[in-house]
Amino acid sequence: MQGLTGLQSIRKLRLAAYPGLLMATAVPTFAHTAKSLSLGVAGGFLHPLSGPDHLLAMVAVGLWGAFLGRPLIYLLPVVFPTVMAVGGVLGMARVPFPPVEYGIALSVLVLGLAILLRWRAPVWLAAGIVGVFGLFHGYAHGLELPSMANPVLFSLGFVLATGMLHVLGIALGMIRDRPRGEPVLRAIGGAIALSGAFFLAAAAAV
Amino acid sequence: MRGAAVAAGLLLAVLAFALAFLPRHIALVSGAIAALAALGASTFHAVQVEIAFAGCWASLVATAACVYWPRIARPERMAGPVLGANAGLWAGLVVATEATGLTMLAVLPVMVLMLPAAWCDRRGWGVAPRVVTSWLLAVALLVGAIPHLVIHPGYEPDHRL
Repeated sequence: MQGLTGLQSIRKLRLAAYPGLLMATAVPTFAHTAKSLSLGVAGGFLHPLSGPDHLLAMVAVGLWGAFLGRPLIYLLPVVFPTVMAVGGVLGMARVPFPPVEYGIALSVLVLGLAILLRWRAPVWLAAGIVGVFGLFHGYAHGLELPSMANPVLFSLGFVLATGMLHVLGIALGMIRDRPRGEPVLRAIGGAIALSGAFFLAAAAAV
Repeated sequence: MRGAAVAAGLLLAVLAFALAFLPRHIALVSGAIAALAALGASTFHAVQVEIAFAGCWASLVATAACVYWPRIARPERMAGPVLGANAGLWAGLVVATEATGLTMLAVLPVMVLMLPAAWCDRRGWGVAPRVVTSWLLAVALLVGAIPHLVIHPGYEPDHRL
């Protein structure tokens, strides 16, 4: 470093640090990886965001709630995290459960179809469907929790992220009240359902 | 470590939402009582871990009930201050099992959540704090279950001597 001014040294160091920084912040797409899970609240928060199946299901819950209106607009985001936590406990306890990948893929497909087809399910049925799917998503998180560096903070992160995704779905669902909002909303539902069919096929292929 | 600070934070956050539905002066007095009780109790290290956590989770459920059904904590019943004292006591006791009063001081600011929750309630969006309370209940369920279900190095002493 002799012969370099302080500023030049810092610039060289920055340049040298870029590849390392890029490698450290690289997020693999369409998959959860063990490394990304060994974090606390930040890892938990990013977990539902880094898996497209979780992400789409959470947004779809909010969208469907917004589509169905009161009381389901707030009942679904209340039911889902609570039942998801129960599923998480079942996963941690390793209670035998139907194949989780199918359940999660099916949740994306069914919720997407419900939006696409404008299905106005009764309150008890909508809450029941979302609750059952919440169990599957929670079970998947629960299976992964024991390997966390800090499972307490990780669970805090993923529940908060789940809630935020519901709110995002509800906010997206508000476009229903705008001109041509409903067809757009149904198209989003169709796209979600299509993704669900893809996830289901992928799960069956494994 | 069983996440005492997280447990106390969850309880105080739910308390903040419950107090947000009360008249402002009662909410502030109840919040102050909760803070004093929490700070006082956090210096009491003799309480057993299991008792402290059981009290914390039971208080959290009772306080959450007041968020969903605010009529339980009607002002004329003095339920606000009682709710505050109870939540503060158990939050302090649970923190005392793992940490010090300084940790309690770091957790107490979550009670500021009372302000946005009261604002939401005044605008007719009282459902927002209730939805967030359900998230906190979900986290509490996981935080409460994890130490009993997961054999994790963080919950075991790292050596026997």
